[in-house]
Amino acid sequence: MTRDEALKIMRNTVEDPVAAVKGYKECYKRPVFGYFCTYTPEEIIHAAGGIPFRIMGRNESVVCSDAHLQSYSCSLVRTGLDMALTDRLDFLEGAVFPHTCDSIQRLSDIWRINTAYSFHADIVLPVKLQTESARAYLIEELTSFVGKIETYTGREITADSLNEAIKLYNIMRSNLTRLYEAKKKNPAIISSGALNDCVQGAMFMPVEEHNLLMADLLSDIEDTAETGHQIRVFLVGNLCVFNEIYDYIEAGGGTVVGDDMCTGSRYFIVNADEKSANPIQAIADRIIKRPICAAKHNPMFDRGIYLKEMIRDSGAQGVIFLMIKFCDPHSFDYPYLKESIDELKMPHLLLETEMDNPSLGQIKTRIEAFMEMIGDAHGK
Amino acid sequence: MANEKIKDPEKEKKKFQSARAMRELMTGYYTESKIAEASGSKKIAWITSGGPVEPLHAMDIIPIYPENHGAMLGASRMSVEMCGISEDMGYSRDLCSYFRGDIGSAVTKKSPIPGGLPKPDFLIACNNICGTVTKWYEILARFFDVPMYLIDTPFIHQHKTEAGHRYVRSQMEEYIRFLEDQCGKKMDRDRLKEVGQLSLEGVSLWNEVLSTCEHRPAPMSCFDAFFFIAPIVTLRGTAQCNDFYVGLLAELKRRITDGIGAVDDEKYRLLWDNIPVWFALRPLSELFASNSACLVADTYTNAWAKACLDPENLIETMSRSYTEIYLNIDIEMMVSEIKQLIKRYSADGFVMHSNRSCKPYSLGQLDIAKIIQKDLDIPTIMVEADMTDERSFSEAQTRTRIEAFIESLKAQH
Ligand code: SF4
Ligand code: SF4
Repeated sequence: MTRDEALKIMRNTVEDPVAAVKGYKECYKRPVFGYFCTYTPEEIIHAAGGIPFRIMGRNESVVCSDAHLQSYSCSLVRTGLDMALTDRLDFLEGAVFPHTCDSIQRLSDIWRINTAYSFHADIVLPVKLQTESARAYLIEELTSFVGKIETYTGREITADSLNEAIKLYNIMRSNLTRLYEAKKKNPAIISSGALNDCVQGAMFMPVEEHNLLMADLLSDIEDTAETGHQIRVFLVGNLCVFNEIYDYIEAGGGTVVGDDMCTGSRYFIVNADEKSANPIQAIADRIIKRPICAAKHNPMFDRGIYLKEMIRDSGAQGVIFLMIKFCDPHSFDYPYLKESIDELKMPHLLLETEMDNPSLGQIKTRIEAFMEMIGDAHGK
Repeated sequence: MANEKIKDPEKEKKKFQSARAMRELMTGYYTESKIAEASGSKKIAWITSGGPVEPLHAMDIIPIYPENHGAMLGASRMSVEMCGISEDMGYSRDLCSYFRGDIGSAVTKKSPIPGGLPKPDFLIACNNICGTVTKWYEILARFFDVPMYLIDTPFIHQHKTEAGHRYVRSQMEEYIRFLEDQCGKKMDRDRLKEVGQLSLEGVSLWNEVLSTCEHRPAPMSCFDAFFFIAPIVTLRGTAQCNDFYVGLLAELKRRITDGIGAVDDEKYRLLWDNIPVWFALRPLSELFASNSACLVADTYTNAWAKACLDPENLIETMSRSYTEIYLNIDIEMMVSEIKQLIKRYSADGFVMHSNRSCKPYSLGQLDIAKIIQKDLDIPTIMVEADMTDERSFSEAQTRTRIEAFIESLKAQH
């Protein structure tokens, strides 16, 4: 497959994840399990014979959610619930809710009460990650999730099947890491929007499928030799579901050279041990080692310091914070991260979006002005 | 003009004598903590409102509650200004207003307490109430450059897990070790047991205080309970706290004997849900009272009324009870607690405060309202507000809605 063909499939998948995964479900003959948040152990769902599918809402006004969720809950939660209540997710067995924030925690209850899926699982992950007792609990909680999904599918999850799954997910994660590295070296090899499609594509399609596409893409891309002179932009935040934003950045003469987003590097940056005698422990240790998300607590991991290193390493010239509005954990971290970036004397911009009310025009104007400002500062 | 000096005897009768005792108690507590801050005579820990405070008292550490301070900022109408300061620092207006107020106050030292809260030597956050406190205390730890210990209490969906319990139990021991490290001395386990006993008694007394409102007419309303809650939150585990509630309880019993109700001609008994609207206590209380409606109970003050500690088995029972608190359980469990309250206090209606600031308390309310309405057939109303940020509250609109609600209650009766 050529690079363009692979990218086209990624694009279509991200454009309409539901249609894509329905197709895969048909062709793989595997049940699909929805999930929220990248802390979900996708490997376990895979080992259970399922296809994990990240529920990320949709960019439309909600129809049914307002009867269950106040306007001050984040739009990920509101649009995700809306998809379920308007029967757009009827191909799912159900959904997995890892403990992340107060909103997801309540969403799980509301979802369970108002929908009729045959499967529902909460994985009440520990919030802190640095202690032995938290690790022990995390392992127990993951083990209990294994039990739950085994009972549901009636299929045993063996250490081999878990290790097999870890291997496949490691390939996916390494592929994305390679693509990010390649783009950082030479931003012109792939557009920012396409880069994001590759990350999000992994959340919506079977991992085997993604690995095939990425193998083709990487072999084609790494041969490409053009170079570009774009403004290097680094993204920080929770999730970005508007491909348009990447287009605005590029239209303004910029390109994305790295990120700390949950629809970005936080999803794939660390691999799990694929040869462990105890693969559940290996999955737990990956969760612990990951660069933390704002919803987790780890005093040994300073997000400010981590960000500065990432940004320096990416050679970025500007930082854009992309935040889903009403997201408590990330809003709490914003001032500290902003200060850390100030220490680098780097310009930054905060964009708050709501999926069901994006006001893209305004976002476009602000990105254009930001890119222009950086361009001027760099004498372009 | 001279008339102003003459006190209305009916109103005087309704005034709580215990109010003065409580003010003195709370002033004494803050004064002592400010003295300790200045002299370094005692360590000071900031702790979250639902946190296990008993080990602090047992170690002679002064606990300080920033949430209580947030409520004070709201009641003294300083919150909006303090919130503005934190918004200027980059904190979103959508974050918890206790947090925003507290940070604004930490930075400016403006507070109803002269000079602001005493500085912490370390921080104890327990996330059994929300994820907000985890982040809030991380920020405080950076701001004051002091260590923080997080007690992570896994949320209970449908049933409590033993794995979660074991995790909390190990943390209780870690927490004690953390305090021992901070203070450079061992925990006196006998003293801890005594504090556990006092805490148990305090919580039982608070429960009895609230229970007096089962009586018709209720001798106090939840607006009074919002006021009298301060000691059980901040001084739980001390003899002073218990002495105060012994006095309050006696006063409430006297009121029952004397036939004094919180509301004249009490006709409608209502249950309140969520944190009070601190800056609007008076207008709301008057509005309900003038319509013969009394808020006889609430889910908020009841959260401190469940006595589950066993001093003989303190670590074990602390782990259980601090995990099972109201904001750490799922919607169905909340509904069952609400139903019990409605029954116990013979409530005719349910008033829910949809509180922009507090997601764990407010998300899910729409479903809770539906279930309560369906199962118990009692009217419910949702009031849109914020516990301390007045900018998110429209008094006129709220008044109209509450009046309409009471009209509908009248129609039912
Ligand atoms: S975007 Fe933020 S508030 Fe929304 S579910 Fe994720 S962590 Fe929670
Ligand atoms: S979010 Fe709610 S529970 Fe948490 S501190 Fe704020 S008011 Fe309290």
